[in-house]
Amino acid sequence: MPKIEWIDELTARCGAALSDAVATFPIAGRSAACVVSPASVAQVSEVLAFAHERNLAVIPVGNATHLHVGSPPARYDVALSLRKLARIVAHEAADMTVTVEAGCTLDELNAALATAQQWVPLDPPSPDRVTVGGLIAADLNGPLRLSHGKVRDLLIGVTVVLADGSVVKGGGRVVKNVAGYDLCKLFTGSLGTLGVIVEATFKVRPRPEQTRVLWIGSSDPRAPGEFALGLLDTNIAPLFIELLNRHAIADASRSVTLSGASALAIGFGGVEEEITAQTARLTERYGPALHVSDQPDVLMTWLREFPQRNAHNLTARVSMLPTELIGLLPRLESEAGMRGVEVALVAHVGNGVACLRLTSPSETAAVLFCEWLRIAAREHGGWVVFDSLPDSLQGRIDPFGNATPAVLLMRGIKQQLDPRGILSPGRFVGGI
Amino acid sequence: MISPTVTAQLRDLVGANAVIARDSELRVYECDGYTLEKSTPQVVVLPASTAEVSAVLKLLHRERIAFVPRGAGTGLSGGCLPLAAPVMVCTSRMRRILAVDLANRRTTVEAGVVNLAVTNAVKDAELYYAPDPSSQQACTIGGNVAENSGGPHTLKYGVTTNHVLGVELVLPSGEIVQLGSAAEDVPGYDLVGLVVGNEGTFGIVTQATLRLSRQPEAWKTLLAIFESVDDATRTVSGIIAAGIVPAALEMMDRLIVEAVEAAYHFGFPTDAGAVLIIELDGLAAGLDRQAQRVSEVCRANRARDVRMAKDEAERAALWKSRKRAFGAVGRLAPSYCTQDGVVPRTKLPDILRAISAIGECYQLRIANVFHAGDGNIHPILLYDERDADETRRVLAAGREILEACVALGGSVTGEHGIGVEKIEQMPLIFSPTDLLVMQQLRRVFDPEQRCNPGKIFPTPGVCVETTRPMRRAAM
Repeated sequence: MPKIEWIDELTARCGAALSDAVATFPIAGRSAACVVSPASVAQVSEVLAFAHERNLAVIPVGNATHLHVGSPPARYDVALSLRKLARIVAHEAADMTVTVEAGCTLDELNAALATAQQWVPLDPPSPDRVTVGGLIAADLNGPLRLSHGKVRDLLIGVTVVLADGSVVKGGGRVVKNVAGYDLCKLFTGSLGTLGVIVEATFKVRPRPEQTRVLWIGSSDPRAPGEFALGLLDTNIAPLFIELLNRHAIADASRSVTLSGASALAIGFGGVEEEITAQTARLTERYGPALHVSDQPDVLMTWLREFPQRNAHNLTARVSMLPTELIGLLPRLESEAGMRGVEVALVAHVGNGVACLRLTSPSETAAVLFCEWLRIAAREHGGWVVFDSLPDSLQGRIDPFGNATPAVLLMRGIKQQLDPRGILSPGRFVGGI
Repeated sequence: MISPTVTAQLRDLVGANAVIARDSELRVYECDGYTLEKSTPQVVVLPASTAEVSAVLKLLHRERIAFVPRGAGTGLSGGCLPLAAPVMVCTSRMRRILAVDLANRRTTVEAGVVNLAVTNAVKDAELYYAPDPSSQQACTIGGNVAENSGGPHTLKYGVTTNHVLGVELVLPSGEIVQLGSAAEDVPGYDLVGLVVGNEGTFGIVTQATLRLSRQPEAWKTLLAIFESVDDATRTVSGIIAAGIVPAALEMMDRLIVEAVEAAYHFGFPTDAGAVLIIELDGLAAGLDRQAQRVSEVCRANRARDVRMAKDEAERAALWKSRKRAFGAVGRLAPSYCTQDGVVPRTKLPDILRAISAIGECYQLRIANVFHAGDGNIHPILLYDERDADETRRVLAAGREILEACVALGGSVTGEHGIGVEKIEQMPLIFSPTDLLVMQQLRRVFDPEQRCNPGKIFPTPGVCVETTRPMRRAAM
């Protein structure tokens, strides 16, 4: 059927406004045939029911901060924008929960919660643009994961429209709930392949009264990593512990005071006495090498924004045991040096997760380094995901690799929830 | 039904000592902590390893025999009640702690390891396993994973799913799959998150990789005494509104306090309307101020007295009283039924008033001990199970309490699970689509529905009448 025909039919059937979105949401150089911006859950449902009927491929979109993550879609007919579903549905401050529509940005959400001195303690990049739906679907976390957990630990309820237009709810609005299977966990990180998230309920926390960032730089590239492991062995409880390599420091020091061949940035939050006590204990341990950052907000923003995932950069995220990560780092620097690849790295040390930005003189060098990294990650008992790839490397580097355990079960789930494969087809692990 | 051939084959796989087939011995397995319904399995198998579990399930797969997994049988919703499942597979012999990684704060354990044993194994290193259900001296990690167990410290530290990084799962086909990893970010769907809380319907979890937590530096445990339950529940909201997240916030009403005091002689005042146990933990600096603020909130809500546990011994005694409260209830009545519901915290006064009214309406005494911090209530309905009418009233009252929870925006189970107990209540909170989707997911793991059948979902037309036992209490 000629494309134009179904677009007209879609408008007639669903009444959803088309082509009023300013963006076209291209993925790997390919645009959708049309952009649809439903204004209600019922409209989202109508759009999907129509697409399901006509076997049209649909990709849910927020503000496209992470739309490039994953393999390019096998098909791409409709970009389903959630921008008109952006309300804060209910903020129950005394219950410490908030229910919000998927198109709301994280900054908008936290601005509303700030009136009650609360927040959802997530810090992915671009909070002014990343949407609630996006941060759930792409499982976006930042340095705060050390102290507050990941998206999955804060999400307690979700409403999703499935491929055939039916609406399913998981969880609820209470922080303790074991009724039924935990659908919130299933949809977190599902990258638009199992349904369109339209609403979510989170646990909120009180905002810390104060925050402070301390940093230690060292000419010995290994020292900060060892310091970090030692720090994790105490009951000092920082907000975050971030390890920066030389190239990351070079970048950061353009906006804040930071130096060394390697550095550690340690965040604290809480009441005055706690921060003073923790600073004192750290000073005991690390003495004059410890500095208090005079620009904590700038540094925290830099740390949060570091990954710079987009459709032009080559970035990776490795995950393994913290001690394994510390062991991998010198090998990584050595290999990168050999290949002429520049690696800027910031690691959430306590979580064993590192974000890498890679700059390479040639595509071949980049590909070889990435292949090495994938093998090295497995040798250290972990994983690597390439969460952005420039167009020229699409197809030469597999974002997820093919060693994911239980892929068959994952395909089984996809088969049950989206048997026609119309939601973000081909973008995920195992070709899902 | 199990043929003698199959029983013999089971003996070949796990050893004759690990197969129970004699009536007198099978009775032990006729129910879990939910004693209102009983059903004896035909055979109980106790494998000693993942390989044995796999071999057993492969045999059952070949013979198309349904089975029910069981850990320690401490569950409170009938999760391991054998319904249309002749074979029970019990993991209690799989008790090994396989690996402890102190540097990375992780441990891998077999499913039959007792919850408290995990903490005991690492406490010298000042680590512990945070999810601490009140039954932790008996319940197993496998059971905790199946039910996504909670406990009193979930407000600050989360529930089981926040502490499980990986599981080894034997599917009903006998296939062994590894889900998740000791690493935090594993590509793909969060199958571990889906498996935690599956109530034993996806297969048998044989191993779990758990996160360990560092012991906080210090604690302050307060006991606040109130004339009325209303004052106590308002205090709970007040503490949260002050931006304080206590490690635990537990409430006990007069009936419970009386029973607990008679059992443990802690020094609780038996004429108080309600008591709150408030535990703060973290860095020593800052705890004083927090404790001060908590005291102020208590007094602002008319607390008669606020006491602080002066040392570790007193703190331990306080917790012992709370964790063994259910045991003390035996003094109050011959039988009791522990309900489990959740409401938003701000609705605690409403639900407690509703419970009181329901008690009066059904002429039942109802005692309350619960995790006030997260709105998770445990009304304990007291009765004599030999009295059929009283038993009927207990069941009816329990249902009304759950309906009241839902009406207040809550859920029908905070931590005990649906099991068989709350199948009828599922439609209160889930639409037909929701239930359908969950069953579709279940089919991915258990396509023949032979793994713990008859649990969680209302399934019209599938042997409900013939397999669910009559409500016959302890007859």
